[in-house]
Amino acid sequence: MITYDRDKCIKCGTCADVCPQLTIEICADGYPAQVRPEDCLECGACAKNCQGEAIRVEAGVGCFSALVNETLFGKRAGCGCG
Amino acid sequence: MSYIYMKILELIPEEYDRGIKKFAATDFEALRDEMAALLGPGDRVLDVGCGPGTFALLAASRGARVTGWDRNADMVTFATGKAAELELADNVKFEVRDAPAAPLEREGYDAVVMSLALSEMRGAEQLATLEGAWRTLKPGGKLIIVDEVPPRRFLAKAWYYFKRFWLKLIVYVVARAVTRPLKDLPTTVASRGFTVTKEKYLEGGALLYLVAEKTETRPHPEIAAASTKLTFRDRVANVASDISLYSTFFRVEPGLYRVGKPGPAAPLLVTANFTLTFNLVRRALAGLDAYVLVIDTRGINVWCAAAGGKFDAREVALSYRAFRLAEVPHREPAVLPKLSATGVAEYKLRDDFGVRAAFGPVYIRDFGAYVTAGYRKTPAMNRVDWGLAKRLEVTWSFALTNAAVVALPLAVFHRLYSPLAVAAVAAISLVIGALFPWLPTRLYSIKGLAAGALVAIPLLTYKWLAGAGGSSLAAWAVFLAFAGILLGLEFSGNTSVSSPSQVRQEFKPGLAVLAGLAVVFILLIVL
Repeated sequence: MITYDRDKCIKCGTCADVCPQLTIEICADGYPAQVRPEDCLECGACAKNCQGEAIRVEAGVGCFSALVNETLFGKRAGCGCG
Repeated sequence: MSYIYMKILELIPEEYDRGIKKFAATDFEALRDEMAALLGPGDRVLDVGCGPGTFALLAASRGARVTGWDRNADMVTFATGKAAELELADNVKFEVRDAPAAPLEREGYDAVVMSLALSEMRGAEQLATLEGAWRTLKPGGKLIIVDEVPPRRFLAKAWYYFKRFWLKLIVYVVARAVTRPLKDLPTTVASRGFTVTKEKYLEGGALLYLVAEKTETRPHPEIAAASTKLTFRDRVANVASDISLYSTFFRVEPGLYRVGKPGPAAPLLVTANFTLTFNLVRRALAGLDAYVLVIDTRGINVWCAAAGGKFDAREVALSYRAFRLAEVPHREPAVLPKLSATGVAEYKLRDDFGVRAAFGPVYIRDFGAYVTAGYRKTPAMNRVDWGLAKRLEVTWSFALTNAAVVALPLAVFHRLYSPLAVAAVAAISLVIGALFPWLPTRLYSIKGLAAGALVAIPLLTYKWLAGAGGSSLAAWAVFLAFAGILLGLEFSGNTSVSSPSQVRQEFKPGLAVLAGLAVVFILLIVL
C-alpha cells in the first residue's frame, strides 16, 4: 500500500526518478501522480527518498520464500537474500 | 580473549567492568592509569566506544576534557549518570554516536581513545573510524587503542582460536553479536597516517595496547586497478555465485577501484561487493576511465542489499570516509545504481553526510551512455527490464536449483524416483521464465499452473503411449499441477516485478491448494 499526503509534498520530483517501474509521473502543477498502480512493486524507493515524508509505503519484498520464512520463523526471517 | 564476553555485558552497563575483570588476567586499573598518564591537563579527549565511561571518567577526574561516544544508548545514560554522581559533568559529556559515520570536528582533539571498539566493527567501519580519528586529531595528536588481536605465536594462536570458537557461539546465542580480532592492527594504523610509538601485548598476546601519533603527511589513498576483462576463473565464479542461494563466499574486498586512467573529471560509480555484481560492472566499464567505490553489502547484490538495509546512506558515507574519497578528485555527483534507491535516501546522504550523489541507470550496460549524455537518463535506462533475455538470465539458475532440490529427496524415496519428474520440474521452471508475460493472469500460482499444463501435454501423452494406467496418469497430472503452482509462487522471488501485497494475496489460498493436491497425490500413490 502506498499513501501520499499532498500537503507535505515539496515537489522535488525525486519519487518519479527513483521508481523502478516508472509508475510515478510529475504533473503540470509539479505534484506527482501514480500511473499504472498495478505495476507498483511497493519497494519503498519513493518513500525512502521523500524529503517531505509525504509518501508512505508498506514496503517489502515480493517473494514467496520470504513469506514462507516469515510464517515459519517470524517477521524478521526474510528471504535470506538481504 | 574474554572480551567477546563484552557483548553480553553490554546488555547490563552496571556489570560491564566487573564482568570483564572476571574473565581477564590483565590489571585493567593499572592499564587505565598508564593510558591516562599520556594525557595532559586540559587536553581534549574523544573516547570512541566509551561503554560505561570508566576510562572517560578517570581521564576527566585528572583534568582532561572528555567526550565519550557509544552506539549503545543504555551505556550513554549510565555513563552520564555516573558523571553527575562524581560531579564531573563539567569535564565530560557522553553522546550516542555511530563513530564510523558520525560528523567530525576537524582537528579538535588532542587524543582519541578506542578501547575494545574496533573489534566490534566490520573492516570498512574500522577504517572509517581510524580515518575519523585522523581527521579529528590535532597535528601530533595521540591515538590510543586497546583491542583484541589474534596472537602471533603458533601455539598461542591455536589455543586462542579453540577457546574463541566456544565463546563466540555462546555470545552469539545470548547477544546475537560477534567481535572480530584485529589482524595486523599496527600495520593498519601506520597505513592511515600514524606513527606507532608503543605496542604492548597482554593476555597471552590476545590483547594489544597501542599508542600512535598523527603524522601530517601520509600516502595518497589506495586505488586498486580493476581489469575490465574477465578471466576463466571470474567466469566460473560468476556461474557459481549466480546459483548459490547464499553469497557469503562471493565477496569482493570493499574499497576504491579504478578502471582505465581516471582523472579529476572521471565519473565515480558506487556498487555492491557481490562478486557477480562487481564482475558485471567492471566488464561493462571497458573503454571508460572511471572510479568504482565498492561498499560492503556483505556479498549481496544491489537490489536485495538495498531492501535489506545493507546498501544505505550510512554505508555509502562510511565508505567515503574509510577510502578517503574526499582526497580523490572526481566528477560529482557520484552515481548510485538506481536500484539502490530502496535503501539509500539521497537527501540524507547529502544533508547528513555531505555526499553528493545521483541515481544513475538501472543497468550498468547503460552507464557509458548515461555519462556521455551528461548524467541524463532515457526512459529505457530508468526502467527495470523484464524482457526475454533478462528473464532467461534468472531462469536458468532457477530451473537448475529446482531440479536439484527435487532430485535429492526423490533419490531417497527410490520407489518414486524418476528422472522424468526431475526433468518436468526443470521444464516447468523454464516455461515459467520464458513465457512469463504470456502465461494467463497476473497471479504467479495461475501462471505456474499453466506452465505445468503445458509440460503435462507431452509428458502425459508419452506416459499413455507407454501404457501407463489411469491412476498413474492421474498421479502425474496432480504432481505437475502441484509443481506448477509451487514453482510459479517460488518464481516471484526471482523476478524484479513482483509486489509484496500480491504475493501475500496468493500466499494462503496457494498453500491450501498445494496441501489439497499433496493429499490427493499420496492417496493416488498408496491406493
